[in-house]
Amino acid sequence: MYVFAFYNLKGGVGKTTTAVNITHVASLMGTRSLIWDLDPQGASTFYFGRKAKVKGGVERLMTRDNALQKAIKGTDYPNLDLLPADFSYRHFDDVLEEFKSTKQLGKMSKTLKKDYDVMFLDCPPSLSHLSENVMRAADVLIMPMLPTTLSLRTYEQVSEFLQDVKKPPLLLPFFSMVDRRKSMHRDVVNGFPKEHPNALSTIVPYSSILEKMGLTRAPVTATAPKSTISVAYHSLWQDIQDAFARHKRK
Amino acid sequence: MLKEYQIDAETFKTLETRKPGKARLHVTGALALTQISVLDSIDGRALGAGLILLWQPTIGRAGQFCVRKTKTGERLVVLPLKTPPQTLGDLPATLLGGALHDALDGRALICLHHLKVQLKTMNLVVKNQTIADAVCALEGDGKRAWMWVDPRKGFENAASSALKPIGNAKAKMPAFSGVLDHASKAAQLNSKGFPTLTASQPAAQAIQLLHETLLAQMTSQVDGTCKDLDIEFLHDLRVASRRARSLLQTVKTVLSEEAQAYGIERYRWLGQETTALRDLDVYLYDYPALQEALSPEMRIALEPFRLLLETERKRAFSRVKTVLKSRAFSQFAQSWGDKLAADESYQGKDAGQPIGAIAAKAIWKRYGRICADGQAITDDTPAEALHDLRKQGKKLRYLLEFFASLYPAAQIKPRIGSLKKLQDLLGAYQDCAVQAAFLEDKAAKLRKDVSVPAETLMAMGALADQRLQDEKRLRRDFQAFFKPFASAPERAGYKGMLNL
Repeated sequence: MYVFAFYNLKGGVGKTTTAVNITHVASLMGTRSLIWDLDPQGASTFYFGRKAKVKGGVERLMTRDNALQKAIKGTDYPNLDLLPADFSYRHFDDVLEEFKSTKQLGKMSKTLKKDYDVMFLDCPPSLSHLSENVMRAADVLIMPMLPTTLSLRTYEQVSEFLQDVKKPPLLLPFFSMVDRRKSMHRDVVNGFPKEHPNALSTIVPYSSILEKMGLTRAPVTATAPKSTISVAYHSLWQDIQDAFARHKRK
Repeated sequence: MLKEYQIDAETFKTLETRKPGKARLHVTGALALTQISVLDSIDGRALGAGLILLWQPTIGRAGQFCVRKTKTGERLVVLPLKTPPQTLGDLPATLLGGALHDALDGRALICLHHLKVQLKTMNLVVKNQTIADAVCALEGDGKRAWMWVDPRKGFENAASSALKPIGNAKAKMPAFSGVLDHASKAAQLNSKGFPTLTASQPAAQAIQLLHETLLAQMTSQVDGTCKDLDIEFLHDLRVASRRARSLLQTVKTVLSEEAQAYGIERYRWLGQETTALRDLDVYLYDYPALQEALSPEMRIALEPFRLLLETERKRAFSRVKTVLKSRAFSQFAQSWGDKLAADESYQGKDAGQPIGAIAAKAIWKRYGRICADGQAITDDTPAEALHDLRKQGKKLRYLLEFFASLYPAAQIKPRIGSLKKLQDLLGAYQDCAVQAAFLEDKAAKLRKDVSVPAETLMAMGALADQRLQDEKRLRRDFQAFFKPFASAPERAGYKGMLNL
């Protein structure tokens, strides 16, 4: 089982929408996929039509045997299960702190390796003990970015942070919510890959369909499978897999 | 885990109006008459790996490919596809972490069993949340109906209690087990399994069972061979046919002379008609390995040889298809089956003897002959003697497999093992000689074509030379492989097993 984390320490960059749609695209290909909504806001859980509730909260989840398996909920999509968010996840750092290790999340996710091919982590926007655990557990860190100066700055911060991580994951930044009418967006999107060859070539455009996800409570790749944005997510997943395959060959 | 509910035909018809408890059954699709198919390699490799592959049509022209665990029925993966997958190329390589590809090992997928049903697909909805998927089927005869329910993870208990008004799920799952049994039997038939015999059984009865199994194994490959789905169909057809001929030649005193002669002649005819295609299949299958054996610059030069193989294969396939669809072939299958069923075919002098004695005699005779022939082989003996020894070895191998059920596994397995080692060497030796001759023959053909570059002929020459070198090396190894097979302990092993 491989672990793919959607992470950016900046909020509102499209982490959850990307996580939800990419997980759905992977499941369509017959990949047994699990998405763990680590954000106490529970947006991924909401989009998949499930309740943001884990019996016993984060403490029980992290300390009891099989608690992770028992918390998993099926979704309306074949090959796609969800580990829902819970409001108690706001104390995730405190619980992880007690283990005095940054490997705990990775250890726990390994207990699910028989049942899933891929685990996706939808991470909250922060640089915390949980983020450190995510970086140790993940094979790939997918980083959605807005094509703005501030967003680029966060990329540098994350990149620097990863230099201190033992066995860091493969960092794959890409641009999301791109509006080609804006010259700044165009300039950043064209310039960034020249200095960062690890950037994914797929660009996810801004789309009003994404805003409707809150109403339909479903991935756009399911409700509007032929839309431009769905095509972009399919292409993004292919890009991610190709980049990871190249990385593994090295 | 899969839950199976037995329902009656009336319940099947009114399912959409059912509201068990607080739940609602929401019909997502209904098909008047369709079939659920079990797909697998011809010899049931997925079943062997504990997986059952099901194809179920859905509304429109598409369908659903589903992999379940055979033990529990648990649904592992579901894939919407437009048509049933026929090869592994039709499925993602990463499916089940590559486990399915590993199990099938490149084999084509065929339908091992199908069930004609009226079908309804449904969702079990509680408080606007879908908590389970269900497939309800009314079997073709209209007598039996059942419902397979896959509760979504985390909703297992909720689904069970919601469906209580429909009934209780059956622990044994008769419909699922039935589908599994039929598919397993078909796979077993294809996987060269033989009936279990007892030593005291009359020889006529045992030989009849073996021949009928071989005939069924052979005819079950005809459709796949004609459709050219996988080269293994023809291979298995030829193996069944060769085994039957071998049985006729090694156990001669049970069938009547007339039946014996008819079977040998017809099986030989079938073997001759299909050899060319099998050879070409093997060369094309091994082509990447042949290329690998050459230097990188010579590899491209080999392309005209591949094209020649492709052209000749087309012709050979067309010939085999004609033969298998011919009246001569269908008459053979029909009348051989009739002969096997008729009492007058079993007029050999040993027809009434117990099969244990007949089998022991045939095995011991064949083993003794191989030992004698092998000991006579020296460094100067012509290659034909080794080829003949290989044929004898094959006959012994078949005898050991036909009658394996008569002997304890602990005794027969080591015998098959030691014979296999010798046969592998003799097989490789034979292949080298045949391949070298084949390459030279095809090179002679290509030489007449002015458009074929000299590099091609050089590459083929290099390959033929490699084969001849290998042949010499294997010849030197012969004694080292033969001695353990003909040794005193091995001889004692045969005697002990056969109670001689």
